[in-house]
Amino acid sequence: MAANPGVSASMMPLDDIVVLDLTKMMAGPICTQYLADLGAEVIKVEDTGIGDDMRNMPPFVGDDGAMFVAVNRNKRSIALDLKTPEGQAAVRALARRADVLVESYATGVTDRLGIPPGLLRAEDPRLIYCSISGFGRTGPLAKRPAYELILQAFTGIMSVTGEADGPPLRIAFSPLDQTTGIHAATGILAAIRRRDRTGEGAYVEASLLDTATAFLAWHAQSWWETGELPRRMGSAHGSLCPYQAFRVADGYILIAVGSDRLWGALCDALGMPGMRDDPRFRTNADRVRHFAETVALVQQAVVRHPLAHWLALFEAAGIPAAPVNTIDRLLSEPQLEQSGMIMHYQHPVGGAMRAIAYPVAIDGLPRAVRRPPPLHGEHTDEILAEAGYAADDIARLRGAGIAGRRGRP
Amino acid sequence: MSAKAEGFLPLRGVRVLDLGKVLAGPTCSQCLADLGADVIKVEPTGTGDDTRGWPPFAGDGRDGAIFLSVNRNKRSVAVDLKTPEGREIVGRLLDTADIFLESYREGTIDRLGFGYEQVRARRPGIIYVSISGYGRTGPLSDLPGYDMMLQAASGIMGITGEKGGMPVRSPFSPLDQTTGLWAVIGILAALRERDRTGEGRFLEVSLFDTAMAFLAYSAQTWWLTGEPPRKAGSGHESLCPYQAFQAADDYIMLGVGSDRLWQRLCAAAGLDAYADDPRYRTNADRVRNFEATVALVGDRLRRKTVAEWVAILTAAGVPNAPINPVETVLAFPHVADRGIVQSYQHPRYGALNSISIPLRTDGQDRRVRMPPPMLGEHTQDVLLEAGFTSEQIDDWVERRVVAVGKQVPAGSGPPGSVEQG
Repeated sequence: MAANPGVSASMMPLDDIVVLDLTKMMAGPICTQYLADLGAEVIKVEDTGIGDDMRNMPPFVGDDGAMFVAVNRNKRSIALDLKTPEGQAAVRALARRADVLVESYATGVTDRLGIPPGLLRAEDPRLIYCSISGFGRTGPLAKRPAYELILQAFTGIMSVTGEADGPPLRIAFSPLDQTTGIHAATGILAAIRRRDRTGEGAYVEASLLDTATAFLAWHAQSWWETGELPRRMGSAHGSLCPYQAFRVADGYILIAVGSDRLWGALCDALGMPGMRDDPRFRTNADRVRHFAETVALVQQAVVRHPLAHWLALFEAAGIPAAPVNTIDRLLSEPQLEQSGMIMHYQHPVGGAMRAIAYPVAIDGLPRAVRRPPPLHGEHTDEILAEAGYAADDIARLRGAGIAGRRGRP
Repeated sequence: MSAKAEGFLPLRGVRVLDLGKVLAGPTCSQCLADLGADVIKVEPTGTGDDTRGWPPFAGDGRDGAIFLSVNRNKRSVAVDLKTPEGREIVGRLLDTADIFLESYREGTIDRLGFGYEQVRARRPGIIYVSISGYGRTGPLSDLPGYDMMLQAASGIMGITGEKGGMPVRSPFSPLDQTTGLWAVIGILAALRERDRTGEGRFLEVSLFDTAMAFLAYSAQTWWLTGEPPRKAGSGHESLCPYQAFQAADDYIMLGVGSDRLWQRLCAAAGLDAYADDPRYRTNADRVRNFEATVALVGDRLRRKTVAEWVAILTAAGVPNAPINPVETVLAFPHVADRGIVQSYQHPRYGALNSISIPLRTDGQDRRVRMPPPMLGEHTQDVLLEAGFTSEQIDDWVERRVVAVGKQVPAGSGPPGSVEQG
């Protein structure tokens, strides 16, 4: 711990909470990583074979994929074969020590493993049991396998993303997986608060489907109010104009006119002061009504000069504008080191590594990695010992391939 | 009514003074309200929250769809913060608040007299949440925070879209909405801490930090390989085949996220000969032979329609989906079964729908307790609760320090509708 300083001053309101983490891939690990960032002790249960699938997705740090490393800090890993009765017994023993259990199996698997919410919550009414799934645990679609991409298509997000006549596009940063993890963390925190006051546990469900639908709340609202389908608009916005990408002499610029005051400033900056009070364009509602005309007008003006010209001019005029950055350029922004969003830590295999912090700054305190993302099964022995297993039992489970990473001492 | 029947309201008794607007702040306070908090939305006296004026509109065109979608379960107080009396009113409301939320441009809140130190001096133990584009410190903190700007500036747009194509915006403002969620997480964490220590916290969330968190694994990849992630259309840089394929009639999404699913896909799509081919056996193999894998699978999928593939692949347990339009999704029995849509009565617009908080607790139904408020609908109630007299309030209305919503006289609007006065 001492290797990664800056921890003690942080907000750790979950430092008395034990989380049994039966998740893999993205949504579940994000949820538990942020609980860990808030001080919870997270025990990640993995199978004895290859472990979390994301360990095997390139590029790699040693044996582990970058995506695994990005969302599994501050956790310990235990490897158990849950197909064996002893493995299941071990997981039930761990569940009995846990305040929070998070699982993201396919619907029905917790029954097979003997750890369904009904049973565990009957044994321990204080337990907060969280299920993360693609389509929810009930309803006609509950058994469908789900991945981010599938839900982006299925929920209509893809139908509103991209150019009007272009092919379907995937939103590349997995917003559904990640935000489902966030919603689950929100629900768990809310449930912990209730438990603090009433002693009562909870069953919390979050799903990619619910997250996607929530993201589409105002598209849904528009559809309900107007009966008009949201369309693909490339970079543009259905309710604001001009608010999109424009072609400039040497590339693209994003311009966001979010108020009528900014429209006035933009007209001045573009040398078209006559347009600001033109009744076709005066208010945002006017401009949305005359969408194509407004866009054409701005487009004609901005294409005459290069990006740098417009960025300087718009910045001076207070008009929100941005270049289309790439991630490498973003990560070199001094803002990120200064704000503490990039954390530095030592990894046993990868050496000096960086990670993206929990995106809430608390009293301006530094954020830090307490534990690097665990190696597969790294903490199997110590976790079993904490759960009451004697040394010979642990050795026996290891010998039988029930605990510990297969093929490793 | 028993606590159970009322639903999951762990924030009952928590009061939120909400000076947020547009999307990030209202998303945060709507979540808090959905969890039971008493949210007092403080709006300017003129036109209120900007999104009230953004089309499309419900009914008579007073409130836009975006406003309606993120402001349920709140009360609205319309106050002119440019007046000393207006600021004193907010100060008085602060005296009973647990959470103070603001999303003004850098510097504004200090000028109004509600910066963190000022607020904390009046209300020790307050949990103060500052929502901004780039955070309250650092070289970019003066820049305005619009979701689309941050999508571009953060690199998210740099990885979205077709290679060589126009910039494409993720059209549901993920940075605004998720920044609101991060604020919720920070608040819930800080509330638990306050329960134990009595101390408040100063919380900062920003669209920029949210974008960074979304890019955590892309950043990790860049740090490891030195290769900037590129636009990949519908594809994924670390998984294959995981993208849109052209079927006989339209596109279908295929998500092969594990080697087990690859085996199933091969069996279902007549690719058995390739299931254990060393070029394709593991995901790492397939990513290495990305184009060959996509060509192999694409050639198969082209031979049948989307409907046929959905049936075949679903039966085989291979994740897949047609590209549904939003209205098709809203009509799914599954959406109704899961309680994702809540219906309620709005005093002006009649029957409206709303998307629930995407969290279900103990299998309970989620409900709209209060419709999105009319501007200033609760000014009177809230100020009376805060101990001001009717005479004072009337005087302020007269001098436009506050605005109150009032019932529309019979015959001049739909029954029970509320008019801004």
